[in-house]
Amino acid sequence: MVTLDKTDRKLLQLVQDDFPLVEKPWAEVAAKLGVGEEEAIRRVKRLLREGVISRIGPIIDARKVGLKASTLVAVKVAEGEVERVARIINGFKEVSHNYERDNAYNLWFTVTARDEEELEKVLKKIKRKTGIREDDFLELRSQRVFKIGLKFNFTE
Amino acid sequence: MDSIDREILYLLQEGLPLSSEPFALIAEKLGITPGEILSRLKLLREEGVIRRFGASLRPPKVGILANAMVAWKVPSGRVEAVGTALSRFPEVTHCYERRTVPGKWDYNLYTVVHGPNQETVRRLVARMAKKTGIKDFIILFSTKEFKRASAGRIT
Repeated sequence: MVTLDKTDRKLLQLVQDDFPLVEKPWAEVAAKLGVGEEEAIRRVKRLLREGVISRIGPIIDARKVGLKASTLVAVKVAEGEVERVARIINGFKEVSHNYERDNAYNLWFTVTARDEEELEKVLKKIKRKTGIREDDFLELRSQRVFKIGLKFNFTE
Repeated sequence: MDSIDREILYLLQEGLPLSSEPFALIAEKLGITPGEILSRLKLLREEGVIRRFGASLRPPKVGILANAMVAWKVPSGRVEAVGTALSRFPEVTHCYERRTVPGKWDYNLYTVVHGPNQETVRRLVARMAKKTGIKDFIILFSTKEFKRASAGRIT
């Protein structure tokens, strides 16, 4: 775990929730923190280097850029095969998330594609490349989104 | 959304350059002004193409070590009410209704929850169950992260 002081926490909260879309965003963030622009940039650089922040930028709504079909897949993979199968699945650009979970279905990943047809093609390809049997493959198509938004509270 | 919007989003996928005037660097590459980049980004945000502009964080680095997908079996007439109620928990970052695989997998509502450890997540899920009255659920803790990227992508 990375050590964060009060200013780091406030900084994380600001750049997560309310990043200023202005020509000099760091000057504005710095002013809110009560530090200089250079210090704000220095702190952000450290948080990126330490991996607390993975990226600063736009989070794009898949549907709005023409990726209208998405699904969650759960598969049963033999203990010693998980790493190998996960690597094959990760190779697909249509796969955004891939986790090992503590269940008989032990590998869970999400796939997003332009439409149902493309999604089916990707799933077929994944089955072929990994050799997962139909019986060990669960496809849980999204019906409705209630909430998306990975946001955390740092300042309480 | 036009081709310039796509170019801007494509270039920003890698992340905003860390300099005093980051939008000027992007603008220079595209031969437009930083002001135009900013007004386009604001419009894209208003239209919902950009869900959020800001930092993406790695929860484990700030002490949020446990993440679980909780699958719930909700009677079809209650999905709307239960989905809405579960989404109100701030610890719930994702909530989806999904198609079932009858006879093989009958859970139809999914929430992703985060917490400092498995114990806090279990306690949270117990509160969620109590609040909604849904007793049939399964907590799937993640034991390894293989990939975590944005589903929305520009190619």
